[in-house]
Amino acid sequence: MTSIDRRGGVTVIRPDQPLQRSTVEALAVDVANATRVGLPLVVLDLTETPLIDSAGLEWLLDLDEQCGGGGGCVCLCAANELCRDILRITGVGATLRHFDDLTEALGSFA
Amino acid sequence: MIKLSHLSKPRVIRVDRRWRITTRVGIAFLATSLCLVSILYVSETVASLRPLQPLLWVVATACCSFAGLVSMRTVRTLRDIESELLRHAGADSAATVKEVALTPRHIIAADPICDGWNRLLDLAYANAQAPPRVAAALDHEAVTLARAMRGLPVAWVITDSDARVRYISQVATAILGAQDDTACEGRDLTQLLGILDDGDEAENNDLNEVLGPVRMVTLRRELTVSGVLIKLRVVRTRLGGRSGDGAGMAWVLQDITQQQLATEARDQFLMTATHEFRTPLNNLQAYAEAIVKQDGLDLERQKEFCNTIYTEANRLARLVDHLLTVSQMEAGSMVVHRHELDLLPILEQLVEHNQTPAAQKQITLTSQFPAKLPTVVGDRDKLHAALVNLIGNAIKYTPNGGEVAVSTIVEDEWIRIDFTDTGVGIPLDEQSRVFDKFFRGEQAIASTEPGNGIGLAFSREIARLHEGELSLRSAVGTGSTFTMRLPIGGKSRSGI
Amino acid sequence: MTQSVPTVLIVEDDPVFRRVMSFTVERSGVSVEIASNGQEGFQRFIQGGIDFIVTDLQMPRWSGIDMLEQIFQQTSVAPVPTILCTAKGLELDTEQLISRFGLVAVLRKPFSPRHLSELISESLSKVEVLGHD
Repeated sequence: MTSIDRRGGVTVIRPDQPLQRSTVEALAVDVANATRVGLPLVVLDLTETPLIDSAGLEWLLDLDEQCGGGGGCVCLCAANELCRDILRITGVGATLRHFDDLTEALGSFA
Repeated sequence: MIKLSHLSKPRVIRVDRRWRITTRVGIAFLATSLCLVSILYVSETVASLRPLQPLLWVVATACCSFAGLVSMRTVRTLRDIESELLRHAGADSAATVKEVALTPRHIIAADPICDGWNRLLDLAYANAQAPPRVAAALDHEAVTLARAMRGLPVAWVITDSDARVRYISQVATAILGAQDDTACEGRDLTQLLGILDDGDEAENNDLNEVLGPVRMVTLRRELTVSGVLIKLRVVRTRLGGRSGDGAGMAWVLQDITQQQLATEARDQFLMTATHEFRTPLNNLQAYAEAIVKQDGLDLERQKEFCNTIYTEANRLARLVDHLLTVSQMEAGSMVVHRHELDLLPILEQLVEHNQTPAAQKQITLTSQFPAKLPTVVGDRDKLHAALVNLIGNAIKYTPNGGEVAVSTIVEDEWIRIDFTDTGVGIPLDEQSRVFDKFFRGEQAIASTEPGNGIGLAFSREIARLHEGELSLRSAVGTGSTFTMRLPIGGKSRSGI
Repeated sequence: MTQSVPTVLIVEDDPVFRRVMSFTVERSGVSVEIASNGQEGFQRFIQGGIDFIVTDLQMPRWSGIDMLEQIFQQTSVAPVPTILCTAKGLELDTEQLISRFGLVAVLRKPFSPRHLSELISESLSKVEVLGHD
């Protein structure tokens, strides 16, 4: 189960499965619900995410776009080696900030 | 502007196959002349027609008239247009007439120039009404937004993608310590913010982050502007939009110096408070342990330790009370119960209760109260706590064999309570600070008495809560006098 | 160890706690000297004859750290095993302090004076063993 909780004003999302076509849609709905109220500041904790596919990447960009429209932003943390490579090679990583751990990511909003 | 540009648009001029108005009038007159000439010629040359001469003249006149009518008909549309134009031209001078009625009107005629005129008017009106209305609305929005941007108490900066300043709000120029916005225009904002490419890794990271493609970046900067250190929270977002239009970045600078100070003060307070809590707690535990675990403790020791536990527990309780009260008062959430109070019994009881601790230190505790005191409006428990604290302090910081005096007099609208001791006194430079939370003077520290430095802050807050004041007169070596003044009848803030 | 009874110097600003500490430590069979702040403690220490130091961290004038720094700069008398007591919370980097001053332990208040006295005896007996070697 993907955990979504609120830390102060920041929504922390921790998916427990790959971000791929089959999972991303349900996740998108949950996240949209969770960020409906307040400034959409989102941290995506990728600790338990083994893989991101193109649909996942697309969703990340959409989410960032959405949050940006609402005055917030999305940042990532604790991505594994593979996810980091995927993000770097596809260039998606360049537009999303990545932090080593959750504390650091939350701190960036302070 | 818009209207002009509309009209001056190159238009395809439709070449009318019909004759122009001048041609038509000319032809009419030519026809008449030819008619007249032919009539004259016929009447002169054909003798048989001579008797018909009057008739011919009639025909000639008819010809002329017809030509005139044709001309008039031809120029009738022009005349209408002329009169419309004249009406319009007269509008400026005839201000009494409503302007609306004087704008050129459409005309109805079969003439093609009528169509032209009408179309021209349509165009002019369309320009004058519809598009300018849109433009006006746009202008209004843009103007309002621009004014709002200028008026917002927000330090925003709009830069291009290389962080070169294009527009900057006054607030931002003020924060950056620039003279005016022109001083910043075109300059590199990262440099203004002191994010320099000077080989420092953290700085470089900041710079890359800020200039990078990430949509929103938040960072903290410390900046020294004309000698003053300010702390900034910088949020920069990339301006969205279609590709190529309005690419750039919007920055918001927040001066968080004050906030930062508040946070630091709170952290400091918490740290000191925990320290203050741990000390009595630690003692409680240690003494209890000593009693429980040490074998063969004689009765005298046990009693002594129990006494210590008792006083330490009291100290902890008092600390909790004071701390809560002080923080509540600072937060403005203190509940004060206001009743009419006679201070005299409270004070008498106070002195009586403190005779024992005073006697333990061979201190003479005297009191001087008038037979009757006016009442004050206040909170009995809180006032009592403050007074206990003051008398306790006086006894605590007076060496053995000293004197402590409590006296009360009525002064104008005030009841004045003095606590005078013959203690070590408080040096001048510490006098203003003794009321600060957790401040303990050098002498207080040197003394063997435990204290937490919150009592005086507490007492003063209580005095202020009652519209009163707590003040101090002291000289090193001769002692101190703490004076609490409370208004008679309680000129309370809430108007009770 | 030349002395038959080791001397422990207790540096603590709170008189109440000083009392119970010295009482407990004394009961373990060592001699106790006290000081109420870092400066006093340092002055007592350089007079010599101290085998062990127990010091508070936060004290007026010189803190425990100030005192230890002075002691380490002082070459005339060699540093002795030390226990640092503190009312500070988890914000303190104990590891760094232990390695910097070779501390026996850092005790967070509230702690048990009995535990302190056990630590002292343990540490002193070690020193003694080394001394005999």
